[in-house]
Amino acid sequence: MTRAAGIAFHALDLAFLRGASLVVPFSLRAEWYREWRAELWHVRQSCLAEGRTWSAECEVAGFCRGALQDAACLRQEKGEVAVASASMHGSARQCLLCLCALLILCAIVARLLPGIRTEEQSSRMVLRDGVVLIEDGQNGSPRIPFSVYTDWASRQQRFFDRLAYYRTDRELAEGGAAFSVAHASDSLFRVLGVDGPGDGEPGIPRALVSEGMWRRAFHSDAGMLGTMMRIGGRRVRIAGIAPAETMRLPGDADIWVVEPPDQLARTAPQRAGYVMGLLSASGRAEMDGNAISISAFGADGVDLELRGVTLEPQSGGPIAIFLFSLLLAVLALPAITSVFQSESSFASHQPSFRTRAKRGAFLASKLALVAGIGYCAGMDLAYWNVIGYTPNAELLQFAVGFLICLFGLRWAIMDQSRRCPVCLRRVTHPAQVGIASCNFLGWNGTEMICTGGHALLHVPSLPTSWFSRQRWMYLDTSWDFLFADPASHS
Amino acid sequence: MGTEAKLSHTAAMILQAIHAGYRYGFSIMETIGLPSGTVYPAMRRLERDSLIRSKWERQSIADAEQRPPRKYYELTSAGIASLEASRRRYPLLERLIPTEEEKVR
Repeated sequence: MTRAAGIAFHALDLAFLRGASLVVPFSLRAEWYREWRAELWHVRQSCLAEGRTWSAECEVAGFCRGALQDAACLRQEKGEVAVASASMHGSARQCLLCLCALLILCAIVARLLPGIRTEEQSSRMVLRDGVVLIEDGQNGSPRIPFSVYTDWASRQQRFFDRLAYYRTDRELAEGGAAFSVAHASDSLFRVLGVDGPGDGEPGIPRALVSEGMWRRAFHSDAGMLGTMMRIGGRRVRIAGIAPAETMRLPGDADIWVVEPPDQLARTAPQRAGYVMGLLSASGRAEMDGNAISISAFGADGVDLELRGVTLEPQSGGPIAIFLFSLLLAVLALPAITSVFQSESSFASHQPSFRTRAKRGAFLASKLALVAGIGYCAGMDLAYWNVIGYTPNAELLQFAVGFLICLFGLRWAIMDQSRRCPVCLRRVTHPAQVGIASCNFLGWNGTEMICTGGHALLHVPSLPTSWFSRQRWMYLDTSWDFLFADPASHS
Repeated sequence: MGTEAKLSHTAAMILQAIHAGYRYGFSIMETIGLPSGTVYPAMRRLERDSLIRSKWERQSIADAEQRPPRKYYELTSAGIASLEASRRRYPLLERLIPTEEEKVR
């Protein structure tokens, strides 16, 4: 065994002891860890005296396992769970650790979901400069009859260097599964500036499958590349995964089949499809914002009013959706919680600037973590069973993000109002004080105390003009005898 | 705790080991041959019952020997009485764990 492996084993042993020490009651923890660490030194000296071997390291690890039993025994005997965890229980550190753990969990799930990766990739994707989608200038429909395209494309173009056409059909594949198949002219991938499927064997068109379909239908199997597939009654060869640029094209195609010109020419004249164009230098000069107006003549001399528009993202991707939901949650927050409901008489003992800064930083951290959880959890739920973009997934992401942000932010603010202004620990041990008064002159409410012994919180049951908000009362040193555990005084 | 209280075999062996001069956790464990998960909790209970007490070794001694300081255990008077009672109950106890001097011989 190498020296590095020995160091790693020692680090693992120490980490195990440190972990086990968390089980030990706080008041005994430091000494317990010190003793076990010292004992570990002796055990290592004894077991590894004849060299580093796996069996010796296993023996040392076996010794460390006993630490857990010892720690559990101490905890059981001490029988003071509440006091033992006083330093951590309800503390700001515990709160932030829990939120961090939740955020990390959500982020890990988000990393593992293929739908999220696809969506992020798609939202970041920018089409080549000068690529536009041709729409009908009259009704704004992006679908153009094939006859119009052929008439127009056969003429000399001033604004375009290249044009491409594709139409999408719902077709059945082997096994009865239906897919959205895009039949495209071979110029489509040149317009987009990406590699197409290449030339295939005569009579067998080559196809590219979308990443979503590859994951969904082929279970991410790379072995399917190059295989034959029967779609719509004819065989095509799967040449690869469609480039990310195709995700931005309308039609939500699962499979892109490049048709030879003679095959595409058999398309019914009135069959509408999508026309993409690559602007020439003069076309780019004519662009008005993200659109260009095109006037042309059809075969029968009829004026064609067309419009080319760049394919900007519908939304700014998941981040933009989340930011919008966060904004709405912040705006709606005052409707469900009173933001300015806490604080009062702490006049005799005002917390220091540092304490107040720490309090502010804690609140800001909580809000940021809640927002992060809202983003990741929203993505997780929206794309849990979805591969790639769907409007429903975006809607779900928005709804989940909004709800988590709204109620998460509310929780963060409410939680802050229940935390001691000095040590940021949550106040506990609620006690009902007073009895309800018919004339509202008698006070009744709930009192809670900071386990660190810093303050008492009075919360009125029925807010009155003279006691409308919760009040903090600072506890001076005369209260110290109630808080015997020094660990709880931070 | 009464001196006549019956100790478990493990507890009796630990008391005997400490009496024999094995005074820190690992040496006791090594001597009686029981796993750490048994020995240390038993020592906690003995200390809780005031049969043994612990004391940290001075840092200067540990530094001189280039090792971490040890936590030494020793018998209290109640512990000595309990050990006597245990020896009557477990006659082989003394022969099972020899003193450090006997071990050297």
